[in-house]
Amino acid sequence: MLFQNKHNFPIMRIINPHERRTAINLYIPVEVSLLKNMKNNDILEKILKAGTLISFSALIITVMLQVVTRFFIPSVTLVWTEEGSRFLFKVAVAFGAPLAMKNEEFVNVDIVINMLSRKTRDIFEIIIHIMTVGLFAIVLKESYTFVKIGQRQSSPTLGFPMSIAHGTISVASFFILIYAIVNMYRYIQNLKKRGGSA
Amino acid sequence: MTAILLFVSFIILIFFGLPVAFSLGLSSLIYLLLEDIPLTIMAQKMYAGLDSFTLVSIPGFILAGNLMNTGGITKRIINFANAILGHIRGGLSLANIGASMLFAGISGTALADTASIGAMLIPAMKEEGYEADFSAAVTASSSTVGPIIPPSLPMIIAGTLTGISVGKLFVAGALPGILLGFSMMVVSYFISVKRNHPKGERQTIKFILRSFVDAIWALGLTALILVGILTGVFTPTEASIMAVLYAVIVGLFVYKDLKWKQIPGAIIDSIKMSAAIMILVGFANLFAWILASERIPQMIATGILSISTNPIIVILLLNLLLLFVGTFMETIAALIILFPVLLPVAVSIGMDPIQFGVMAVLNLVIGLTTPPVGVCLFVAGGIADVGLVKLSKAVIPFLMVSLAVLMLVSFVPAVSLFLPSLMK
Repeated sequence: MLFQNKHNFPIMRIINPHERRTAINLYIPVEVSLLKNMKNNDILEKILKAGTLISFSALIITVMLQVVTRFFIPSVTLVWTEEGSRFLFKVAVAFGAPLAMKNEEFVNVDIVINMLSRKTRDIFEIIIHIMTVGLFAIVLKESYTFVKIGQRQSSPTLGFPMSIAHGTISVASFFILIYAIVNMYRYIQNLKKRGGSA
Repeated sequence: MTAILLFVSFIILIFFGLPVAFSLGLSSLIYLLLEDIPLTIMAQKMYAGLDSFTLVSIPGFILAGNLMNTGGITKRIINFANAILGHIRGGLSLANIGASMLFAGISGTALADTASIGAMLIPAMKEEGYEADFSAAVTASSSTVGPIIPPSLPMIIAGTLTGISVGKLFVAGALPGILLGFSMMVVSYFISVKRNHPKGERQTIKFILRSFVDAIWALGLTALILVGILTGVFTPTEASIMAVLYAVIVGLFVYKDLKWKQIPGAIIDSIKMSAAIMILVGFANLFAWILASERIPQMIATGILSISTNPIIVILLLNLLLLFVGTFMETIAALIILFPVLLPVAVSIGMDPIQFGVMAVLNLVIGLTTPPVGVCLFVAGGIADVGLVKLSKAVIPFLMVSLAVLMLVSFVPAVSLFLPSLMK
């Protein structure tokens, strides 16, 4: 069966707005999208994937510790698990969000842009890319001040400086910014190629 | 004045095609610049938006669903539903709806439901002689019970944003979800009788029992989540992580369809998907902070209440607004923007926040099966190879059912509030 995929994460591909643009025939067989991903499996992506994997695995263990100690070892009360899992969650998001950015998996409303002519749409797309880059450049810059604010505070139960927790926003926006720039560059390259062949 | 600009720029950016999350961020940025508010608030509010223990359950439930799916759960759920319902006229379509309801107890989204059940059942239905558009319509429509029957990602978001108990929201969705599924079965049955759809052979009790035993581990996950939350043994977050653990153990050692080496990929994919939602939540928190400081929710409440203070009309207006937005905007994005703004309106006419939560989510998921942007419709149509226009027509009977259930949820509080009232 064509659609019964072995790798089995149908949700991921469908949400990709660029695939949705092809409206009804969006169900691209997994093998194709996997190949596409493998080709540009860059070192940055590997680091982000490792970060996501480690932080979320640690989160699973933390929450399990919380449950296990509550039910089976009532004498031990772990106060840090709740804060610890919130922190690990933010770390996982900081590493995971850039991966979503790389694959352009952020949901958008594309009814208007689909009605435009190819040329107008290209202009719109480039403006969208520029706005995205600008937005995350500003978030990155401002998160630095936020990190500095955190230096003076320490976390309530784990005791580490809050600047580390606040830094998750910097990490996320930094890597998202990188992929935003890469995506823009790729779009323009593609545009040039299309312009050349037309 | 600048508050109006906030809205206008947000709407323009969205229709420009900028992702919803970035539209929220960028329009907030414009507001902050114009009002001369230090921009550090951006990082601060994004951080605060993510700083919630309940939100941790989102990647948990997504991951559990993905792992269960990889572990051959879908197949077993379908077999079980087919063993019970298959011998009735139009049996496969009834099994489709039944499987959607069972699957809803594992996944928290409608799309996952459409994709995994549709991939297996649509080709099978077509082969047995069901019309392609009917097969796709049944699949897409029935998958909307996914976010109503717990666990539900939209309800986690709604609860986190407004401080309503996520556990209670989950439980409140159970009855309307079951009602929705059963009413769809009734409609589907009458269509099948009229069109003389095939029926399967009646299965022996032994066969049904065997398929039940085979599917029992899948059903056990739903029980674990529901009972755990209902009795207060687990918080939703703990339940989601326990569900992950359960899915791994069942997939690896019971069904043996899951391989160790598939787990890292499942984790990364699930987190990636959740992270995209979280960036949305982060920017939405910034946006909501501006809305609150400009007292926008109060203004909208007065605006709606100035049209009418009659609860019936206000509820209808709220439904219309949510349905309209749901037709073109993705559920979670629409919920993040509208739920905190509309909640005060609902409360002011005496509606329970939990009832409003179920009503809002139901409104928005109905939009998943309507044009212009109905993702479930797109996916089911893609699998069945039917055009959007034809499929939109085939969906209409099911849409009517959903609207009827919506009216019940809107006007009969007990439908959503009875089960949560049993909780401590």
